Amino acid sequence: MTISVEKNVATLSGRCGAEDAEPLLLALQDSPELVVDLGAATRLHTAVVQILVALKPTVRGSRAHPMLQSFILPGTAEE
Amino acid sequence: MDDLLEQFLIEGRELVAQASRDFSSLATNPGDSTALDSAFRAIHTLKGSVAIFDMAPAERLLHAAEDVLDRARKGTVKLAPSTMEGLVASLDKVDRWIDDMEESGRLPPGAGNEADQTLAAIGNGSPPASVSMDADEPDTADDWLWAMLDRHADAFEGATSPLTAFRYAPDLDCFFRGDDPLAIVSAIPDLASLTMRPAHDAWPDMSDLDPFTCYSIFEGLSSAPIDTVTAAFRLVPDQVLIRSVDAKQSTPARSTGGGDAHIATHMRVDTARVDALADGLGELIVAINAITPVADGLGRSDPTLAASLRKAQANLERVAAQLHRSVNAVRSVSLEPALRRLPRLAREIAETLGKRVGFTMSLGSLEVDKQIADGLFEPILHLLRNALDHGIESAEGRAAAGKPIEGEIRLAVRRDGDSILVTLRDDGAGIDPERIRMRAVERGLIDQQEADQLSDGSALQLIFIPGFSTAQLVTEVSGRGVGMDAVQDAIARLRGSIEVTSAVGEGTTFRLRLPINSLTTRLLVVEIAGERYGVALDQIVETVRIDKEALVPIGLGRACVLRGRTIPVLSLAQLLGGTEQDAPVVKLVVTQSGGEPVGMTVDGFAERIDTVVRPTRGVLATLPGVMGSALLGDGDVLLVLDLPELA
Repeated sequence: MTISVEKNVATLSGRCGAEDAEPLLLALQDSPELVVDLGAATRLHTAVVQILVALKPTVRGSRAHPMLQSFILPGTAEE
Repeated sequence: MDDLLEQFLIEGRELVAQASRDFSSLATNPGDSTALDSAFRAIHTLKGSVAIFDMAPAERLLHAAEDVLDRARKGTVKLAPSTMEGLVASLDKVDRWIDDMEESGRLPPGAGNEADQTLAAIGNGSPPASVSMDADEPDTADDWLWAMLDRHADAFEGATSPLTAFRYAPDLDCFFRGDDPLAIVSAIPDLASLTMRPAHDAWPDMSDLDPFTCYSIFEGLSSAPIDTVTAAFRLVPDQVLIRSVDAKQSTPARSTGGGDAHIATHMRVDTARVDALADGLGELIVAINAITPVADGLGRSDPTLAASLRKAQANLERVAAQLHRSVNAVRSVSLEPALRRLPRLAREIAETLGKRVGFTMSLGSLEVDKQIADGLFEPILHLLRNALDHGIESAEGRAAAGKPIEGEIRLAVRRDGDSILVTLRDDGAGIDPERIRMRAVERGLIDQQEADQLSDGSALQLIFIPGFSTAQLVTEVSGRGVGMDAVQDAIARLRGSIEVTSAVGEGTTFRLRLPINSLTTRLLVVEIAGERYGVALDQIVETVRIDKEALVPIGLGRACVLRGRTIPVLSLAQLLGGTEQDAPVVKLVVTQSGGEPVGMTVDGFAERIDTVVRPTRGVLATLPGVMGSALLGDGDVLLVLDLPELA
């Protein structure tokens, strides 16, 4: 498992592949206010990023992913 | 045929159709910028396509046309009527050459000269120099580029050195293939800007979002040279567009790699496969009908079980009907591709005849069964030829009659219930019923007495009889040994009907009525002299029951008054060689024959069924008045009558 949800925070960790997009989507469908923490992820597949870009949840820890931080998720809050 | 050519024939013609639609919008409204853009894109793409083949004259014409359109887009040139005529002529020429490519795989000799003449007609100053695909011409069709440079204006306008712009539209199912588009993008060095956007304006809603579909497209700028960026996309060259841009020059240059990105939402399927599906479905419907007699039999011994069986049958019927609608939808095509050559042919034929004729076509967005669309072109072309040749008068003739010099022919198609109604109307000389009567008698088709009895409306329908032709001269255009009877046959094969009305001096109108779907036929089963026959519902105007006394003998036949109109009544039993039953109430099937209603007596009306009617073969095929046969659920064969032919 690379996604764990605890106290309103979904933490993505390690290599997140395309197969992680579905549990992330389900988690966000259950609780749209969920904060997604990317800090511990070493790699994020397009399918996962697409969920974040499309549904715009609050994202933190994007500092670990320079390309996302600079261009793709610049508007999301960083705690 | 070579696959590439085959593909070109389909796509090239679609592009010609697109451009000609846009041209006709532009002819009525030269300021229509949507039509202008669309025409430009179609011509531009077509130019790219013809370049693959040995069609240099076509490429030259299209290049010139593209040039004129581009200048019109930029507002530096106005599309004068003469320019529009030149553009239409160029497109006609290219369309004709596409036909040549299909027939012989090459352009006719002299195509180069023709191109030069047409170029003069466009009247733009563009030199007919050779154009080649690898030229470094600025590519003005890069709409994506300007839109994306707008979005990335900060990075673009601040740049001091040339940048490489890219647009990467991954396939919808790329995740399944293991692609990770972001990983590919992250391999591009020196990214100055990047966006991840939904391919279709907006992201799907949360509930519709499929995590395994790639909805994203990526656009960006890099300060790396174009070759480096192209190399980063080397695994997905078909999904990416790359251009070099320079903020100081603002002229994007074409990349050496990368084709047009496209997201496939359509699939081309061999029509034979769809036909096989349709045939199978037809058989299924017949097979389901077979349950009825079983349930009836069962009902005598076990009514409960019979009821369950009927319920199951009703379910099967419902699902089959749904499937039927879906298959019909797949087979439904727009009429436009089938008929799109008509305007060009009308212009060519009018030119051959030295007549000035305006041809307009309004097809709407109607979709019809493919078989109907394919089968309509020939008969309509024949009617059009006739209208141009015999209908529309010469310029002098029109002037003398006080009509506008330019003749007018209109083709309109609209839906009318379960059928489509095709109307071809000309404002020409019209058909004189008296002349038709004379000619029919001269040819021995009818005798003088019959001729005198015919109403004007019925007399006109004589033109559909084999061997009838009113043309005084056999002309090059319509005198090809094909009479109006061939038109009627072609329409009848599509289970359609044709009627003509005309007013001398005012013009002629042909009305064709065809079924929208031709997969199964709705039949009414009738009983005649102890036998059961099928009659296509679309041949029946109405069914009526009248008192025996209301039938009055007239001459050798009988007639009755229906809605204040006297109609002839024929006995189907006698026509089929049997004896009519004597009953106090006469049951009539009213059909349309030669434009006039005709009543036909039957002994009884039975059920209505949906079934596949097969054309008769062998001995049956020689029987007059039989349209085909249908297999019934109980395995019996039902002969399907062709009422108008019997009348």
